[in-house]
Amino acid sequence: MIELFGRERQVRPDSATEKGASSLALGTEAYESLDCERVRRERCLASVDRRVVVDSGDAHAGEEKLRLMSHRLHHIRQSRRLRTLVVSSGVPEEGKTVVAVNLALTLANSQDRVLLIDGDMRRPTTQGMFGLELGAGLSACLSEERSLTESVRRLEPSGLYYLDAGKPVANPVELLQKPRFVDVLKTCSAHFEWVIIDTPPVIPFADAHFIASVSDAVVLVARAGITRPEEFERAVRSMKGAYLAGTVLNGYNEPEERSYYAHYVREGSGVKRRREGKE
Amino acid sequence: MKDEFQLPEAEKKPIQLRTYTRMIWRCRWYIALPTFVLGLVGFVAARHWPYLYRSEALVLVEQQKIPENYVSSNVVISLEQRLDQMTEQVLSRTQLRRLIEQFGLYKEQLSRRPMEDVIDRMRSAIKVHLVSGAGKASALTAFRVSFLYSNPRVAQRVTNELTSLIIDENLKARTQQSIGATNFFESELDRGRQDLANQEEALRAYKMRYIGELPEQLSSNLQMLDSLQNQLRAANGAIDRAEQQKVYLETLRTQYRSLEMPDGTTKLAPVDPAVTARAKTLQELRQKLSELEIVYTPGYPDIVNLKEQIAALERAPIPHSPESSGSGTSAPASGGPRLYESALLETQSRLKAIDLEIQNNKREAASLKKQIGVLEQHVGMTPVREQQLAEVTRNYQNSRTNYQNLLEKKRQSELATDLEKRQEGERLRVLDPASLPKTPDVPTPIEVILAGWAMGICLGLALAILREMTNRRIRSEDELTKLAKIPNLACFPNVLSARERRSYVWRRVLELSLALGLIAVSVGAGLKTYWKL
Repeated sequence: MIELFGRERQVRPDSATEKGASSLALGTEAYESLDCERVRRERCLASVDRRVVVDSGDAHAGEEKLRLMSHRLHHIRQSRRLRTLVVSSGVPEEGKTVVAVNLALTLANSQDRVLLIDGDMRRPTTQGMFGLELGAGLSACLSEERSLTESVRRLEPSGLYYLDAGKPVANPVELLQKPRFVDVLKTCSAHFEWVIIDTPPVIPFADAHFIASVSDAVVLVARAGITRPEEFERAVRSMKGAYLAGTVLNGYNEPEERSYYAHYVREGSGVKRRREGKE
Repeated sequence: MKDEFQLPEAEKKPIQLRTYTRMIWRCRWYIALPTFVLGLVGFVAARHWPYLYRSEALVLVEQQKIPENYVSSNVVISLEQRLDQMTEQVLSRTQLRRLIEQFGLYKEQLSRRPMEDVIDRMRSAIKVHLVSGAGKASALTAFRVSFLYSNPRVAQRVTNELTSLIIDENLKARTQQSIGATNFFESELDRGRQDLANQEEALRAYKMRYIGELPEQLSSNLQMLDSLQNQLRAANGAIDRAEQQKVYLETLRTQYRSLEMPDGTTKLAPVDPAVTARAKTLQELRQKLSELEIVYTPGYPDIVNLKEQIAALERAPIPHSPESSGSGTSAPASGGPRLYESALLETQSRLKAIDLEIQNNKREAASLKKQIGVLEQHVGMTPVREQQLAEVTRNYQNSRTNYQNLLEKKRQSELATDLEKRQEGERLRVLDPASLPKTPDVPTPIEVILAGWAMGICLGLALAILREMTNRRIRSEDELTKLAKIPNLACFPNVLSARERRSYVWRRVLELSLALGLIAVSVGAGLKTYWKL
């Protein structure tokens, strides 16, 4: 069991590490190498997709929810290892990708080094939210066509590291079953404080089970008014072997909270404008 | 799993109104579509519905014109009861059948259903209800007759016919009842008369049987008793005097006989005629006195005079005639033995007379005693007879009173019957003839339309509830926490992509258009229905 804080200091890439690629030898097996300095940087505007609420320029109540979620995850980390976090759901179209992307951006804003992996090699969608083209991605990395360094991208200005799913494959489970996937994951967890993995839904596909089996925790997303209770229950049961860090209720519009938030933000904006006016 | 967050157990929160409003919003089309569809159906139905029209007539109850204290009615059944009876008569199977055939009612129903069912339907369409007066709540002054039918003109005609039937039935009922009452009193009067005659006979028989012992005869009995007792006293007095006289005469006879010689001569001097006359006069006076004493009191003047005369005569010296002077021995005079014999004979005859008188007086006294005994018995029984007579008299008086009462009642009843026959008693008058209804009564077009809407809403709500029950979704954080049994990290608001947002907007526009279209169609249909009706 790796101690988090000790390992963190050792694992956290410092400037020396950033400048040169090195494999981390900590008395364990060798990992896939990753040179964060050499990763490709790409400009990405959060406003490309309206579903990305973090750093969108408009105050959004979802940002506060994400910050709350981020805080809770940090709190969990105080008692157990929590680096690789799978974000999944029971069935498709429940907003797990939206949650994963926004959570990754939120964590990245808190000065943590965060890697977002699109683990859905059947139907990659995260690149669209960033307005990016699909790269070589995870599928190429696991197929050893590309290295991890070549596959990962750093998104600016958020500083989020991003590994897209790559070209869609028919049977991603084969790739996930390879030891290389574990290596990749371990390398990533060594270089990043947070590795957020967006996976396919757990009920129809086995991908999330494999990924969750080598991850630290799973967060299940349900969509208000859409997710059936029996489906979610089934998803929870199917994740029995993994650690379920918690749930996220997506699409939950509480009118009172929205009005409180909007009023509060409006008041804040008004104060700010008045202050600027005085200045 | 749960050690990181110790979230409290999901509290059982009361269901809020917001939950229902959200549900309604979610299922709005499940509710709206059936509502609009059935609402439109309601509009169409309102135009083609087989409405029923109610024609109504108002009948006034007029009280009798002659004051009640002069002639009181002998119809005791209240108007409500009579109305119920008349209604029963009018709504009888026979009457209704006649009306159905007369006016050609319910032809379509008759082709499909038996007559009995049609009659029941007609019976339920007829209403007769009382109307209270404006003054007293309990005073019933009028009633309404109404009939419900699909054709307003037919309804009016039938209502008029029903009103006429009720009025005729009322008149007939009242007359019959009045005649019945009079006949009843007549029969009761006959019985009363017979009873009175029986009681009179009983009283008469009683009086005849116990005549002499009746209380009203007590004073006369007592007077008679007193009189008889006086007579008895007088008779006894007469007997006493006669006895005394008898004793005197017997003494005299004895004296005469003692004077008789063996040769038939007498020692007595020849009788002095003056003495005989004196004795005769005394006897006459005494007899007259005794007769007067029977009738009058001792103070009566004649009685006093007679007593004085008798006393004077007794005091007067015995007159002697020249023929009677001698030694006392009877000398054979020319009239001497003849005078002695005549005196003895006279004495003997007087004794006989006295005896006879005594016997007569004794018989009379005995008779008087007997009569007195009877009278005393009568007087003694009088209290008993008085009580018995009181009972007999009471029965007679009761019968008599009863008879008089019945006689009076019969007279009143005959007056009331005459009043009814002349239709001067309480009668029914049509105040408002049957109306020609212009608008339907059952149901009204508004009711049909509203029923359509109401059914639509109910169906919509039912569908919405069914949907909610069969299409369960996770809708709240509490539900999710309870289901997953792991803490909820966050509730992320709904965010839509550009495409999703466009789709959402288009969907909303479509919904709004559809809603406006449905509203427009409903309003149009409503207006059209309104103008049509």
